[in-house]
Amino acid sequence: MKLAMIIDRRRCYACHGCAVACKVANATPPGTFWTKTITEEVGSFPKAHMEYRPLICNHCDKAPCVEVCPTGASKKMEDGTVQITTSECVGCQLCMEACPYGARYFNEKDTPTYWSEVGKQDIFEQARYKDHPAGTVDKCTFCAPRRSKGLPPACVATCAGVARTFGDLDDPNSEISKMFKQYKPKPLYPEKGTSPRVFYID
Amino acid sequence: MKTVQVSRRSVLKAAGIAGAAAVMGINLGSTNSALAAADAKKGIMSKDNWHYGHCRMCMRGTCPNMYRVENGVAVEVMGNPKTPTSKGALCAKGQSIIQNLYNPYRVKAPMKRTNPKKGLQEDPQWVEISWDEALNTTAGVLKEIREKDPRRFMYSVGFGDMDFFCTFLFYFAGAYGTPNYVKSNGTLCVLHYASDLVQGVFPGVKPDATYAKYILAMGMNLGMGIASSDGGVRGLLNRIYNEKDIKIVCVDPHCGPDASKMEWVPVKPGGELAFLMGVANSIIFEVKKMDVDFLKWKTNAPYLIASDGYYARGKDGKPQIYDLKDKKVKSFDDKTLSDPDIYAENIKVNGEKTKAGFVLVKEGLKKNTPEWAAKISGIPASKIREVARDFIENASIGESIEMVNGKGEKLLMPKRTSVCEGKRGIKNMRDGVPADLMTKLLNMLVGSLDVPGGMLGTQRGPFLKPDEDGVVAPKGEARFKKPVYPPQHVNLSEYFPHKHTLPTLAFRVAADPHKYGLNYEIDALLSVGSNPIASTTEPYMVADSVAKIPFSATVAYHYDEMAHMADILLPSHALLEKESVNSYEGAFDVYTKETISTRVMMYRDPMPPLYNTKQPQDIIIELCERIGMIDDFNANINKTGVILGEVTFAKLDPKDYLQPGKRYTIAEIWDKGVKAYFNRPLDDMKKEGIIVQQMAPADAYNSSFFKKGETRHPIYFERLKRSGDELRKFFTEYKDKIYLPDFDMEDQLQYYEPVIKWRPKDLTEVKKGNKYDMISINWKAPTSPMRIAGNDQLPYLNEVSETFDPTYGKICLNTKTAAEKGIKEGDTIWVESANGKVSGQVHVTELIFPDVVGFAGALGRLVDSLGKKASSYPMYNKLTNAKISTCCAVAIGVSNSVPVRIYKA
Repeated sequence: MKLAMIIDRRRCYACHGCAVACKVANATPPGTFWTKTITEEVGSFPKAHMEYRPLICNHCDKAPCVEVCPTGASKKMEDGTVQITTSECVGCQLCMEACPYGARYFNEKDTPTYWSEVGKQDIFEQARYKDHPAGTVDKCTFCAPRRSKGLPPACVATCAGVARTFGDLDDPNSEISKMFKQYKPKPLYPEKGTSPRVFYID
Repeated sequence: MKTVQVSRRSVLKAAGIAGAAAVMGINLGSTNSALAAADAKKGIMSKDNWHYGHCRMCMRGTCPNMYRVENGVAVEVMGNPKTPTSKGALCAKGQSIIQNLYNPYRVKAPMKRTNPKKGLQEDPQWVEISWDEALNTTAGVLKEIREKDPRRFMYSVGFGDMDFFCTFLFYFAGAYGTPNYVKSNGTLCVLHYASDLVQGVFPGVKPDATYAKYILAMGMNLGMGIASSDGGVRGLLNRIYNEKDIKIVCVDPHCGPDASKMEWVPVKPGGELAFLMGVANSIIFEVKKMDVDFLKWKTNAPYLIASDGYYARGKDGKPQIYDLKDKKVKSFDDKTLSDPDIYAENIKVNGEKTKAGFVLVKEGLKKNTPEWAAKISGIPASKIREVARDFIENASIGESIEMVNGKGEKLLMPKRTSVCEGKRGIKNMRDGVPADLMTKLLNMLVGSLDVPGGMLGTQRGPFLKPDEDGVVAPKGEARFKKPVYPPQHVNLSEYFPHKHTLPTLAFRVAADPHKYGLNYEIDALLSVGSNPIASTTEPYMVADSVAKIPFSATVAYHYDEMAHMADILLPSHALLEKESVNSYEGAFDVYTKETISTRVMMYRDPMPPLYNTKQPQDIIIELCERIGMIDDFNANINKTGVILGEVTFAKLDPKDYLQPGKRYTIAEIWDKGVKAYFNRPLDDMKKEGIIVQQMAPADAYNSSFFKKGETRHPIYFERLKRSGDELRKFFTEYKDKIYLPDFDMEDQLQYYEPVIKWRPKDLTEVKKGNKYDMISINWKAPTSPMRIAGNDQLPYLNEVSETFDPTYGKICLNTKTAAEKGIKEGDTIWVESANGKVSGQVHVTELIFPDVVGFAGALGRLVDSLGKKASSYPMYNKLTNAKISTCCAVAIGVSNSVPVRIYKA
C-alpha cells in the first residue's frame, strides 16, 4: 500500500476549508495547522494574480523526521504514512527542524484554548484536546482515525474545489493512480531528497 | 468594563465548565435557567451519534452538513456527502459551526437591562431573568402599543436568526399590523430591480455555466471569493481546467480568487457602467453582429416609441410594431406579424412620427465609444473592443439545442453562450440600477436570457409572464407602487417604490418621525437577528436612534451591538441547536451540469440547547400568543403559505390550515409545509437529512415555456421612465410638505429613463489634488463575507485568516500608490471619508487598482462584548453613508464606494 495525495493547485481557491476541517477533525490546538494554504502574489499590476500552495505533511519515503527521531516515536508505517507514537515522543523537536515542509507542530500548553480572553476551554476542547499532550510534537496523519472508519481525510472530503485526491498509488485502478498517470504531478522540494508522497498539479 | 451577568449554576454547569469565566458576573438568585438547562442536559445525552443538518455560516445556508455528538458534546462536523450539489464539501465557515455553538460570548439566559442609560459606551448591567418575565415584559409592551397604534412598533430583522432568507419573520409583522418591518440585511442588494424588470424573477439571475462559453463578470465573484462550497465553483473549475472551453473575464478594481483563475481586467471604481456602454457601443457600431431574431421576437426592441418616450399605442391601446414584410403597423400581438422591424424610423402612428425602441437604444449609445469609456474606466479601448468581439464570437448566435421537458416533449431551444453579470461592485453606486440594466442589455444583444448558456433566474419553471403590453411583468421590486403622502412607513417606502431596504434611513426617521411627516412615534423595537448598527452604514447615528426608542427587545445569539442597546434579551439558540429547513432551488453563483436541474430540500436535526435559550421562531410564536395575536399569525401563514426556502413557498390546502386559537411550534408548521410541497413528513427528514429532486432538462429554462413573441424582455425600459414620471408628479405635488434631506428631485429622477445615459458621479470626479483623492472599495473575504453567525468573532476563522490571508483585517493599497504616499507594508494609517474614519494596518499589493483603498470582509465591531479580536478590525461601514443623494437612485441601495483620503496614524 502506498497512500499518497495529489493536490491540484489550479482547483484551490484558498477558502481555507481544509485548514479548518483539519482543525475540527483532529482537534488541533491554536497555532497548529496540519494543513494550510499559502497565498502567493504573482506578477505586477495590471497583470497580477494570486496562486495558492496547499501544504501538508508529505509522508516522505525518506522522511528526515523519522531519521532524526531519537526515540523512534516517528515511524514509517506499512501503509506508507509517517506516524508519531505520542507516548514515545519526548518533545525534543529535532523532527521539526529536520522537516523541510514545516509540517510538524509542538504542543506547548496543557490546556490550550481558542477562547484565551475567557481563559477556559470550551467543552469541545475539553473533550478532544487530550490527543495533543503538552510537550509532544504532532502532525498530519492523513486522518488515520477517519480512515479507520472508512472516511477520506477531512481536508479531502471538505474541499469544494475537489483540489485534493487521496488514495493508494499501489492500486492501479485507484483514482489517484489514474491522475498520477494523466498529470504526472510533481512533489514539492524534490531536491531535498525526501521522496514525498504529496504531489502537485500546477 | 462591560459586565455580562449570568447564572453560574445554570450556564456554567450545563456547559460542564467549572468556575466562572473572567468577563462574567455571578448571580445565584435564579433557578429557572438551571432547571431548563438540566432538562436540556438529559436531552443531550440521548443525542449521541451523527445527525443531519445544514450550514448557515453564511447567508446562503445551502450546504447540507452532518455533526457528531459524543457524551453530549458536538465533536465533529462534515458536509453531507450524499448531497448532489455540495457533495460533502464545506468551507472554513461551515467547518467552524462548533465554535458557533460553544462561543462563550453567547447570550445564555434571558436578561434585562438595569442601566437605564443606553449607548455603545454604556454598561447595560445585565441581570438574568426568567423566560416568563422576559416574554411577558416584551409582550406586555407590544400588546399595549398594538392596541394604541401598531405603527409605533418597529420590527427589525436580519440574517442572524434566519436559517434562510426571511423565514417566518414577516408573518409576525403582518399579523401585528405594523408597516415597519425593516430588514437590516440587504443594504447592498441593488440586484432585485433589474432582474425583476427584465426577467420577472426574484432574487436575481446567474450564468448558466453548463453551456456558457464566455462570462463577463462585473464587480463580483463567481463563488470563489465567498468560498462557496455548494457545487457551482466545482462545476466552473471543471469547465476551466478539464473541458477548457470557457473564458471568464472579471472586471473589478481588485483581483480576488476568481479573477486569479480567469482574466482580471482592473477597472477604476465608478467607471464600470462606462465600460459596459463602451462594450455595447462596440458591439452595435463596430462588430455589428447581434441576435436580431431575439431582439425582434423576444424583446420590445421593435415597439414603436412616441415622442413622449412612451410606447406609441394603436386604437386598441396596444403597443405597435412595424412589420417589414407588408410594411404595415400592427399591434404587438397581431397574428399576421411576420418581420418586426427593430430599426424602424419615421413610422407614423396616430399621425405622429415614431421610432423603434432599439433605434433609441442605439442612438443613446452612439457617443459611448471605447475611447470615451477608456478615459472613465481606466480600461484601454483595445481591451474594450476585445471584450465586445469575444462576447459576440462566443455567443453561439443561431445555434440551438434539443432538450426534453417535464411532459416528455422534445424541444429545440436556442443556445446562447455569452453572458454578462454584475454584482454589488457595480450595483451599489449612484447609477447601480442603470449599470445592472446595461448588463441585461448586453445579454439581450446576444439573446442570452433564460436559455441554455444564458442568464437564468433563481426561480425555476414558468415564473415569468407577460403584462398587457406583451412585455415581462415584474412581480416584485420593479412593480410601481403608487407613492403616498403622508408616509406610513418609518423607512419612507412610499417615496421609493423600487427600494429594497434602507434601514439606516428608517432609524434616522425613527429618531425624529414628525419632521419626516409621520404622525406617530416609534415606541418599541423588536430586533431578530438584525444588526442595523454594525451591518449597514452610519453606525453611530443608528445606535443613537435605537437608544432613543423607549423599549427595545432583541432576540439575541450573542452580545452584539443591538443586544448591547436592548432592554430585554430573548436568547436564541446557536445554529446547531436550531431545528431548520432550507430548500436549494437555484444557484447563488453559477449553474453547472451538476446543479442546473437539482433541488435539495434539507433539514437540521437540532442539538438540545446547551443554555437557557430558545428556537427564535418559537420565541416569536410565544410572543404572538402572549400579545393575543396568535389567530392573526396563523391566518397570515394560511394566506401566504409556509416558506421553506428563499423561493420555496408551500401553499397549504385549506384542510391543513393552522387553526385559530392554537399555538403551533415552528416544527409543526414546517411539517405542514414539507408535506404540502414534498409530500413527506418532517420526521422523514430527520432520518434522511435531504430530499433531492431533479427537474426535466428543458424545464430549467424559462424560455421553454414560451413561444417566440409571447413574452418580450424590455430592452427599452419604458416602465422605468413611467416610474420616474409618476414620482415627479408626486414629489412636485407635495414638494412643500415632504421633508427629505439630501434629496434633489431632478437629480434623483433623471436616472429613471428608458435608455441608459452616462452621468458623472462623485467617484468619477475623484482626482489627485482633491481633499478626497482616493476611492474606497470593499469585497467579500472568504471567511467573513457578511456579518452572520459570529464569523468575525470565531477564533478558527480569525486565526486561519490572519495567518494565511494577507488582506484580512488589513487596508490594501497598490504598490505604486503606497510608494507615492510614503506608506509601507504594516504601517498603520487612517482612511477618512466625508462620513467617518477608520484605522488599520496596510497591506501593499499589486492586486488592486492604483489610488484605491481596499478592505476585505465584513469586519469591525463597536462593542467589545464579542471579544477584543472582533472589535480590533477596521469597520468599513463607518466610511459610507445612507444619503439619498448618493444611494442608487432607483433601488436606494447604499453606495459602497466613497471618495476617501489616507494618512499615517
